[in-house]
Amino acid sequence: MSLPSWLEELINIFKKEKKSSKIAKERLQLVIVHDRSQEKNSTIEKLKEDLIELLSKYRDDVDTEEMDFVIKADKHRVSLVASIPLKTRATTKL
Amino acid sequence: MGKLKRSIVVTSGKGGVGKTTITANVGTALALLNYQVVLVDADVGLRNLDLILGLENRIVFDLSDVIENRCRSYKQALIKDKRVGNLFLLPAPQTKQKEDIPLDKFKELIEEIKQEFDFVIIDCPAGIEHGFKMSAKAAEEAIVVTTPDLSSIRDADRVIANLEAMGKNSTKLIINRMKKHMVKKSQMLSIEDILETLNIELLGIIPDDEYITISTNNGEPVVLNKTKPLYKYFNNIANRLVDPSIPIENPFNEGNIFQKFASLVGLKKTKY
Repeated sequence: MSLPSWLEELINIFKKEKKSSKIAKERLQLVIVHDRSQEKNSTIEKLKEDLIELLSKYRDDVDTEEMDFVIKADKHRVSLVASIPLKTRATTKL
Repeated sequence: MGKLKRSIVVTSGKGGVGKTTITANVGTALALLNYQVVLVDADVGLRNLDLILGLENRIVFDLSDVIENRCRSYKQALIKDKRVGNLFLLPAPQTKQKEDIPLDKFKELIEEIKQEFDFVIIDCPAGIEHGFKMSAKAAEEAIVVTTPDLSSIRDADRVIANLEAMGKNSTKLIINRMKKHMVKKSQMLSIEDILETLNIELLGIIPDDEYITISTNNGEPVVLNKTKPLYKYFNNIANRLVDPSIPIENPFNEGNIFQKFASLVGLKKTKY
């Protein structure tokens, strides 16, 4: 016998179960961000190339292999998050 | 009065999300608004727009007959819808391969038809291969159709990226088959979720409705029957194509009697 839907809802509230639409949204946004970053000639790829060129004017230790750009979206804004590691070791004085 | 001369491709990436049904109904709705409309079935080898429109028995010439000059002009291949009057169908060939239609020839044809009509709407095949490229390159504007399913939204995102790469910047989204009761229980992605993910302008929303099956069975677009609930949604999309300032018909605004009253007296504004 299945429970009436309102009772199920009530149980869900107490079980603090994640709503499936929320799970869907998180999974979807992850794959889409990945899909977009794979795109050939994507603006991100072009930006990356330009930035490498620019950065190399000022530093010669930018780890271009490990550089990473992602577009992240939350409720309020879409942002471009860049991670630019340097080859210089953390213990070295900058 | 001058012709609007607009060419629009209806596309989705994923198959089975309702491209053909939407093309048939929005096209018919535009014709009912007195615009001159040609619907072009670009799904070469797998035509279905004829069936949805109930015109399958009247096909003499098709798209490849026009492209390969087997008829005098494209006009000879157009099938006039007797119920609506200013609605025409250019059917796809059924015994050809998609690659048999050259991209540039198709684009030339769409340009030629456009000169004498208000709307040329191209029903694009699923996928992002030849048929998609052919349809997308020929049209100036694009409509992407998605359902609230993950796979459909993901594919829509790829299609939008492809369209952008072709230089199309006015792509709009139709969300099809929204299930109100599931969204309310957070069991389905909401309109907001989808728009936030795809970051694209919304053209319209079509709620899920079993009547679509019956209308397809009968070969009669839903919009021909103004008493059916779906009529207003398709009609809203047709109107918004002409005037984007018209508010979106939102199935979620129907709500309870209090919400209805609130929206009636202007307390609750439509979000979009």
